[in-house]
Amino acid sequence: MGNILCPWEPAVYLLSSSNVPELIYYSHGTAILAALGIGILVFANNPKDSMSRLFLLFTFLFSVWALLDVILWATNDPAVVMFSWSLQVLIEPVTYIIAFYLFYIFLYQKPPGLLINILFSLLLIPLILLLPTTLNLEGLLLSTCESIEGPIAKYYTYFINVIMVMAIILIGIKRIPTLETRNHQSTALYFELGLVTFLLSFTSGNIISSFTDDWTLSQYGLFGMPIFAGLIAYSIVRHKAFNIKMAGVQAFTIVLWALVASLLLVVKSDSSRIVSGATLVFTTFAGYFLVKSVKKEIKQREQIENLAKDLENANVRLKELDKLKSEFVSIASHQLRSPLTAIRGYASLLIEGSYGKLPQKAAEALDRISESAKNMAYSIEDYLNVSRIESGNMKYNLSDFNLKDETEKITDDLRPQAVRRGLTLLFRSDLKGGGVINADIGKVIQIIQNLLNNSIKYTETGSIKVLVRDDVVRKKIFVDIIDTGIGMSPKTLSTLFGKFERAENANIVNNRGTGLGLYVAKMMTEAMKGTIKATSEGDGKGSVFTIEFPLVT
Amino acid sequence: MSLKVTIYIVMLDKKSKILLVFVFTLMVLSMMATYWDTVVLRDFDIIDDLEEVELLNEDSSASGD
Repeated sequence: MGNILCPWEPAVYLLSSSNVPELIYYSHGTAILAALGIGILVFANNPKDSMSRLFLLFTFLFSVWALLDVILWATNDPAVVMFSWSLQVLIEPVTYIIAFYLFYIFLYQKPPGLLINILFSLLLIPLILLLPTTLNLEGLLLSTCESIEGPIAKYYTYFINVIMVMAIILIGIKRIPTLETRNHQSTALYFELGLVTFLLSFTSGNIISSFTDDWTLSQYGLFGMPIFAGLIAYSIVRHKAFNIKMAGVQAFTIVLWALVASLLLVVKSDSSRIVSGATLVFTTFAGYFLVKSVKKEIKQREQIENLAKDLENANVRLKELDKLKSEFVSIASHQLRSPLTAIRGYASLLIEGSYGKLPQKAAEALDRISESAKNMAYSIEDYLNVSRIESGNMKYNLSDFNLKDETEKITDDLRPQAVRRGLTLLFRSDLKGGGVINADIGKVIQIIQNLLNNSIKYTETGSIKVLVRDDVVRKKIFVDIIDTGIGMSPKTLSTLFGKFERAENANIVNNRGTGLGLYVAKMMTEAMKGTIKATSEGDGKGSVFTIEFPLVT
Repeated sequence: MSLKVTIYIVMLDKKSKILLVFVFTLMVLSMMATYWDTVVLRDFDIIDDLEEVELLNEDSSASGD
């Protein structure tokens, strides 16, 4: 006596049958290909990682479940239906439990403790033990070739599924807020969202089908698989700090390829098959080149990132060296300044006759020593100032003072020096207001002295005028130092305030300058919100230096 | 006390592994039993509702006419 069979043609290779709606091949084929593809991709990224292995197992079990589902649709043999259905009843909750373990390891970086393992085992054992009994599947309905589900298949499996989904949500709520970085938190949330949505869409389709006996519904739950598996894979790979973009593109390509490949299974007409086949070939090539180009881009990006890192390190080293240089200059200058003070002091005492009257020639030599020591002291002061400015250690003690009064005092102090050189040094004030500024008085005096000294040095004959004026409307005060000295060419003017820059014709009159005086003056003026500029009509036509400061209102 | 706790922690992983092997073995045995029951012995009830369905179909086509 032959076996009783369901009323349609037997399936070819268990899978192919006219009884199977085309949509089943499409939904299941896509889901299986995408799940396995993504599972293998994640596993290949890091085969030794327990997360990767578990994820592969998860996608594998899901694929087996989906394959069994196709078999159930195709076969007309009740025995195959009963066995495949039973396997599905077992595999489904196991997949959910693995999903929980996957998320647990993702969050805690370790598997759950013994208590949870025992609890889950106790949950699973009744299902395992009752699987071959009628409490699982009562029998088979011949007209539809569907099993009649007992309480195990109808309630207990879904009970485990729901428990697992709830457990996943609960451990997410408990653990995610305590994760260290915001990036980790968002990745975990992403993972949980993908997992829960997938599991819910998977189980809700099955639950509805179980209770309505309409099994066409359950296939829709599978459509979400490729997307959610992609999301989960993305999270796993991202969390493990792999090439996120690379994994994303690979997952996308696999899903796309799976969709097109499964379409090939669905379509019946030859023309559609040709189009689908061509699309599949195109997708394969396009996917290959896409992955390749992204790989190349990532490689280039990594190279650029490495270069940027090197550059950053070099920059840090350069800054350190610059600081060391400034420190060296500062220390060296201090070391030079101390003996110089002694030289100048004793030379001064000798010239004044504190140690007795000196012969004329000795006095002249001492004068030279004193003058040279003074010049050297100025140079050292310039170096020290540059060092302080560049290291950011220049201190400014700001206070309100009258600029006109201070400028007049400086002019008076330097007048004897100008007179000795046969020059006239005049002071004039055209102030309309009070002339009070807020600046470091010592520094401002130093700047004006510097400019005035320069004018005296570089003026052979004629006069030097110091003019203090203001612009009450613009709330500015100006100090002009106008001389009839050697003047400057436009080329010299453009570089005059640079470091170590000296006027082209400066050496004719004075060859001792460091080229730092004006640089220091400019830096200090600007630090006190002022400006400094120089104008000249050309070589031999005198110069005008103007300092500008904002007035205190 | 601390020794007991330490032993418990050390054993924890091993116990879980034993549990896993146990559950897995049960699962395989259960699947084998199911296979034996369904595919080999074909020991399950088949409700032959074909005639019933045909009658239902006829009824619905008759009322449709």
